[in-house]
Amino acid sequence: MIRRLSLLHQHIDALQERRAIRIALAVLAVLVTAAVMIPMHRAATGFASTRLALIRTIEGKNVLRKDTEALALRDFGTIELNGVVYGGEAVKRLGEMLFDATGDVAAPQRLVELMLAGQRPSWIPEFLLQQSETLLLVGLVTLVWLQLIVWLGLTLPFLITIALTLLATLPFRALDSTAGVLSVAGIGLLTFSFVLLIRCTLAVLRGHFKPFAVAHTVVKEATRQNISLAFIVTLLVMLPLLPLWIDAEQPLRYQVQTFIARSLTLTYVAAACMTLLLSCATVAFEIRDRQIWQLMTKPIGRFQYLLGKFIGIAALNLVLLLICGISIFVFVQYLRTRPSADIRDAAAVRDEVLTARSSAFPVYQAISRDELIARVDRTIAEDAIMTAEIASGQRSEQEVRRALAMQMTTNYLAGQREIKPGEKRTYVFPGLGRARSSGAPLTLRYTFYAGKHDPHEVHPVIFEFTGLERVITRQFVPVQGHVLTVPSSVVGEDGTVEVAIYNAGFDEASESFFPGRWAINFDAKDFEVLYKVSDFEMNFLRAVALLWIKLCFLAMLGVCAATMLSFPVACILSFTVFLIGSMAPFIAESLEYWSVDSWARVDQWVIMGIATAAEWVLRTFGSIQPTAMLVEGRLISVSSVVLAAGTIGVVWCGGALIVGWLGFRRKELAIYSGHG
Amino acid sequence: MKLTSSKNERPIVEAVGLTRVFRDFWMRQKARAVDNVDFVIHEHEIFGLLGPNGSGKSTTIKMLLGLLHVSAGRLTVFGKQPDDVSVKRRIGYLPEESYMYRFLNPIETLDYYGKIFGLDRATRKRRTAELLDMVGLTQVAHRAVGEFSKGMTRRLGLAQALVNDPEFLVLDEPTSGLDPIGTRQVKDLLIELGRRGKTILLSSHLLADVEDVCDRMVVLYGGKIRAQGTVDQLLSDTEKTIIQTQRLQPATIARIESVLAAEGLGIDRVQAPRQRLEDLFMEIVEQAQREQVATSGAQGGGQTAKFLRGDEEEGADLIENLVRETPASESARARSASKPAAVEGPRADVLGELMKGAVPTETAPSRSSGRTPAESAPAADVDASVIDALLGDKKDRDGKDRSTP
Repeated sequence: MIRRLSLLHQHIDALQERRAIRIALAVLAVLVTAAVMIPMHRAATGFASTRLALIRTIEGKNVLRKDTEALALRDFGTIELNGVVYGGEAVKRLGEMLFDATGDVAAPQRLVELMLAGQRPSWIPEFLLQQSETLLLVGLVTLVWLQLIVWLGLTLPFLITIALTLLATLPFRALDSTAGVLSVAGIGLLTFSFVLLIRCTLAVLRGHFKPFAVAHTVVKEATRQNISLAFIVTLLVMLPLLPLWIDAEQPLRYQVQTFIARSLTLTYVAAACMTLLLSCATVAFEIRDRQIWQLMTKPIGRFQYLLGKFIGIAALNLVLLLICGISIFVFVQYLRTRPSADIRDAAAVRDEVLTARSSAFPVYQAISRDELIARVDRTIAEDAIMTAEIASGQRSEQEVRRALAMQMTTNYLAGQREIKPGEKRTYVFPGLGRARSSGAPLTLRYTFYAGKHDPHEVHPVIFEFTGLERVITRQFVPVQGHVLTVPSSVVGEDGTVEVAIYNAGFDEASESFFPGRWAINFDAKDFEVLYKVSDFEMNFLRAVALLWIKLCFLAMLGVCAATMLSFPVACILSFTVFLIGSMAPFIAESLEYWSVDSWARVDQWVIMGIATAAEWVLRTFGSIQPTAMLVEGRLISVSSVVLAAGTIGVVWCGGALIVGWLGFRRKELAIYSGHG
Repeated sequence: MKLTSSKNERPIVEAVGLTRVFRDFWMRQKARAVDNVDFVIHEHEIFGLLGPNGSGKSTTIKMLLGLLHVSAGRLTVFGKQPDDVSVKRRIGYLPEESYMYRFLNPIETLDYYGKIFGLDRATRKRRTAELLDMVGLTQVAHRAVGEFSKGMTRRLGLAQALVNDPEFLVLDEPTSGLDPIGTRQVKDLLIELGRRGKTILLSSHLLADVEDVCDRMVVLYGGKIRAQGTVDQLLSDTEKTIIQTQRLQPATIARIESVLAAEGLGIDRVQAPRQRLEDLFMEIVEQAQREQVATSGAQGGGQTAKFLRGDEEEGADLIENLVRETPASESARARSASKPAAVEGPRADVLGELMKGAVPTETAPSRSSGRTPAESAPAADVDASVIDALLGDKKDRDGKDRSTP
């Protein structure tokens, strides 16, 4: 039986190698994709346009003004559009909830969703229905994917993978677990896609460039050796299972943020570990096991050899990030269509998470030179001890004046970030003209400190935005971050936002204001306005690009370390650099609070020296945190990607390559194998 | 000891005062692996590097290939430094152990090395197929090298050393790990490559391997050259003469002894010649192969790859190589004969006396002299009566057997 299956497999495999069969399969793939995607796209586009038209029809309609549409909603729960009636009893049953206090239609988008619930084509996934752009992308990717399968001769493995995946999903179907079915299907899909892209990569690396030959072998090594395969398999299996561990009871915003954070972190960490181990192993083991003797006695330079190793690992990382990136992106698109907890939650997903925002900080006044000098002079004059020390020569006047000036400048700035109880302070955020023109809402992010910074206490605060009719009262918890969304109408014509903060609260019972108990203060970086400048999709792509750049550096680091060190030592060095680099921001922050007890503590001086040097060298590496920025909906600019590519990609990688080559070019690859 | 040669071919490798000293971490001398060695390897010759374990053979080869630095002296390959990348295009190297990538299969391995040599895809494909057929690994071409036996890995190592059709082949213990079949095939291959004009450096401590194929050799011990010269110069014993005939009766032997005694000579040894164990082994295996007995090991190798035989499109070069006679190729042709070499220069007067009037008999061709049987035949006017007397009239001129009394 097995022999017959094997023969059948060989026969079919030989069949699919024929050009005529491949052409036929390629045409079939195009037809199937078109047959599925075109109707899907038409339906999705039609649905989207109907939804948009309905939203426009009911948005802004007011029942108190007796607008026709509003009255129709109240009386019949329906809206007529182009001769078609939408809505019905389900809408009518909402009654007064249809309108807000002012009489406007409340939540028109959600209302339209409810109206169209019965007309949604059930054969199209929800997230594709709501996003026709994603549908186009999915269609294109599917078409390319199928063509690659056909022309790389993977039709039979593809069919086998489908069959095995369907088999594996049977237990989950029996348990009626949709999530389980999707996860298993995801594992099969990811694994096969990985194999497909690896084949493509090997095809690309067939060029005559000698480093490509080395890279070609590295890619094969990575997919056949346990040292790297373990991480690849872990990633391809764990990633589709991540959605199972997202708490569906949480607000949608946190679900999306949690998934993005965990999935990208898992991808990056697994890829980084694989990169470091593989890059060290591929060179160190070749030197140890002497395969390099047979290679270096052939016409390939040592520089070409190192470059080839790097290219191979970089290509492998690109494949992994591509596979994982696409799957994460598609799942995020699916997640965003899940029901949100409330309107605020839905708005947060749209405006604070799945977006790309830039930030603006308020302008603080600098102390004038004359004022500073006057204050310094006054302080010295009023401090008799300080005057005496200067007069006796114990301390230099210049040193004293500089120290006082720095302290006063810092205090002056800090003083602008303090609001005493019952007082207000106004802050101006410049450069927000783009936010005004986009019309997208702004987000004020703040982290305030008050009293003893007790996280169990709440404190009142009031925001007054120029351009808004009403003030906004809030309560904040010290040390925790808070956000406040305001419309773009608060941006003035000069592109500035002016906000006054009152250290006070409003008592609704007595309808009166009362002062806060403690002074409010905050750090410079914890008070900013965020505004949308780009879309999540391109931001995600840039985030993946940054991750790839960092992985490229790790690859070069491992390859070059292994030219001079044994495998274990090269791994220790590479992982140490990786960890210190990743923790550089934390180290920098810690160094601000860390001080040496006394001059005699040599050990503390050494620690401080090493930490300072390491943080300084690897600061750039640690400062690039695309996952955190993506989770917070912050912009990852093109310039930051270009800068990272230039700094880490070119300078750091190039530097490591040169150092490695200099050490490797004169290294004796053979060893003494005689007596004595 | 300086090794000189009168050959006119250009030198492929020149070593003058070659020295390699290994030092420990504190730069103290640990071992003097190669000590002031001088040798030259000329184009088109098969050069042997002999010596026991630890004599400096592999160290010499590693310096030659740029894997080790030279401590003192001068070493050039094709007139350039050993670590010059351009030189390596013309070299094929088989190390003492074949260090292959365990995760690649033979096809991928040869394809990889072919790419490094800059061969185009069609050439790589063709040579890979021919080489695998030659070394008998076609059946396992898609099996990972990590699953191979030592002998199979060794064969693959030989194949990768030949993928670029090198001008200069460096073989370090090429028959290590091979069974007698493989050993014979390797030796035949080396002879053929030598015939085709390749320059080969063969390092081994298996003396029979070297003796059968090399033109010249050096013998190393303790990093120094202890002996050098051609095979004949080193191995011939000019003090003795061997004559091989058909089986002789004791009485005939006694008569021969009496003739020799008249010259003041005696017979040291009379014995029936023995077939070599290698020949017996090959006969048994070939018989089994003819009977198509199954085996799970490597198959017997096929023919030498076409590109190595020069059967590829470079017809003009091939013809020129065939037409051009060189001393090395002459001696290589002579080496293809399987019978043991006869020593030159038997005493002419003794032979003449024995052979007077005798029917000319065939003698074994001399491997080193290159003489053919026809050239060894005695003059037509030799008196056969002496032979008749010696042999008891076993045969007369008509060739009739009169062995019965």
